[in-house]
Amino acid sequence: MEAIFFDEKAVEKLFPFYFVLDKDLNIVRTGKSIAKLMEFGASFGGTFRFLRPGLGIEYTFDSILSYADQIFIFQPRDSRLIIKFKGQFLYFEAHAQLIFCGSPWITSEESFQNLNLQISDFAIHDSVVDMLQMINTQRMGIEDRLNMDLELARQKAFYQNLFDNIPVDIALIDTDHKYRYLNKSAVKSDDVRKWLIGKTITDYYSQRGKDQEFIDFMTGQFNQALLSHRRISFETVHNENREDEKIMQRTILPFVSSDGKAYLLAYGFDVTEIRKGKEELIVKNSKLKKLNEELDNLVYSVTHDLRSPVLSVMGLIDLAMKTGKPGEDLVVYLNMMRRSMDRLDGTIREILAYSRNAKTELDITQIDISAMVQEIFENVFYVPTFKLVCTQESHGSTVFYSDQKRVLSVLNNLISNAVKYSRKGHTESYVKVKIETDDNWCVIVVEDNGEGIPYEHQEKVFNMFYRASTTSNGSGLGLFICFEVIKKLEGQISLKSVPGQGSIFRVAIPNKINEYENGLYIN
Amino acid sequence: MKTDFILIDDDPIFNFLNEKIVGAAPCARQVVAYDSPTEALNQIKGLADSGELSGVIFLDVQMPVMNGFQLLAELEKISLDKVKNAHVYMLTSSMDEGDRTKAKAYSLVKGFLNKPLTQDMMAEICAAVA
Repeated sequence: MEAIFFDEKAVEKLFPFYFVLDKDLNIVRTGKSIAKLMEFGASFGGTFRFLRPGLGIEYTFDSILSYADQIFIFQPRDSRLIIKFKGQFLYFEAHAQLIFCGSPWITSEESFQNLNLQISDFAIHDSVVDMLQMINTQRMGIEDRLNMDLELARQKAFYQNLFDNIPVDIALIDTDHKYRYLNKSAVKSDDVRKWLIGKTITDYYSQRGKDQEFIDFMTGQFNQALLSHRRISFETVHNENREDEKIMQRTILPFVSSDGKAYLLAYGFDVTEIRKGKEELIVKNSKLKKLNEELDNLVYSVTHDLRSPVLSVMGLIDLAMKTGKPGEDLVVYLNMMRRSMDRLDGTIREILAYSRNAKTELDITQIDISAMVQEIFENVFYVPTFKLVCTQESHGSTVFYSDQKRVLSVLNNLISNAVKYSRKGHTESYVKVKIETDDNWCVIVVEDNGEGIPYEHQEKVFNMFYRASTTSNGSGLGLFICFEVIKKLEGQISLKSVPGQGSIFRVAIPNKINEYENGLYIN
Repeated sequence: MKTDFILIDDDPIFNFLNEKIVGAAPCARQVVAYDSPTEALNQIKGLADSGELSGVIFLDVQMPVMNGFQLLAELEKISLDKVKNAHVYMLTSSMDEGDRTKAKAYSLVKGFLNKPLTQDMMAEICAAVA
């Protein structure tokens, strides 16, 4: 058998932490790795302290030699160095030397890192290498898991954020009607949202102060979706008829999660603006429709009412030209022409009055109604047999504020109608005007004992171009304009009439005294 | 052959004018004008009852209380036998096509004339009814 020679290089490679002791326990040589760790004193006993073997060991060559079959553990006497060595002593008989074959006693990654050593400072066979590899593998596993958890958390936050920012209320409800999830749009408060998980929809709506009717309705909708396995959609109105009215379009649909559990997914979004827009459109549309009808009616009637006097004048001119001689006939024709032109002018004025009423804003001033009535009567064509009876009654404030021009046009119309449609041959025709004013209203009742209005026409007399009498050549616009003006004044007009006996028109106009005093109408 | 004329128009000026023009026509015998359509209807009903209704009726369209079409509807209620000699002509300032179409639906209506009435129009009517 060949002899084996261990040279220094081999020992260094196998035990980088080796050191050599001579007969007097002087440290005569050290390995590279152990030299990195610490400085050595001259003797072993001055540098290290034994931990194992504990009893009986002495700091002598022979004592160590006698324990050569045992594992040694020792540590530096310098307390700043926190390290232990573990290994065995090998006796070199030829040189009478002891060689320590071992390495730092490392039990955790932390103690390894504290030593400021590298893996390459250890021999390949050293168990520390195995340990570090194992720890490394473990750490990689932990890191992977950690990374995965981070990614999951990131994704969760992403979707949470997404769901919270969708302007749609989203809630997930289990088959017991308990909330499992709610997004921020559904419930703004984080605390309430947390509290709600596991609570029922009844709990929620009670907490929000909803009445039992609403709770029953919602529960019914959830049940219906649950039992029918169908999606159901409906609308709910909140704060109905208030400034902050809100209309929600809601949908409840059965939803089965990836693990096979049945839920109800409820979502809702605010459709208030859309609905209001639609309602506004409907109102606008009906207004347009009415306007269009009025326009059609206007064109139809205007062709008649404007053309008729023109045609009659044309006929009269033809006739006058044929007669050829100036004389009494001509005066008759000219008078007729004048009447036709007056009528035409009247119609044009009334169309203008109608258009002005629609266009111009209210101009509120104080009005002396009885003086106004007197003035109107004096201006209406003079009929000697006609009596005017004007009575006034006032409650509270006698002062009346409204739009002077508009009130005048209403009274003018009603009073001149009473005179125009008085009964022929009746000697005691009259018009009575009764005025009652209080802080809120001015009520004017115009009563006559004229020809009255046939019952079948009473409903229609306020219509555009509606004529209910053959007595006078009216345009059919007078009462229509009255109606429109009173509407603009936010008032009301009503009619009672017995044919052959007379008519009573009752007009109520709001007294704008309070608005005027509050400065709403200062121009 | 001479024929009677009934004029129905709420505007007395037109009645005055038309009475003159109709009166001057060679085929005209008696000319009666009414400002009130209801009064005119009563008179026509009376003539129809006694079997004396014949001749031309000039009828305005737009009139208060009872317009031309409402009056026509009343005339249609009279048995055909009693109105067969009456020839109704709508005489109107209306230029509305709808009114013209509506008038055609009444068998009593023989024509739709636009105001003002002229001697030429009268000559045609005389030729048609004579």
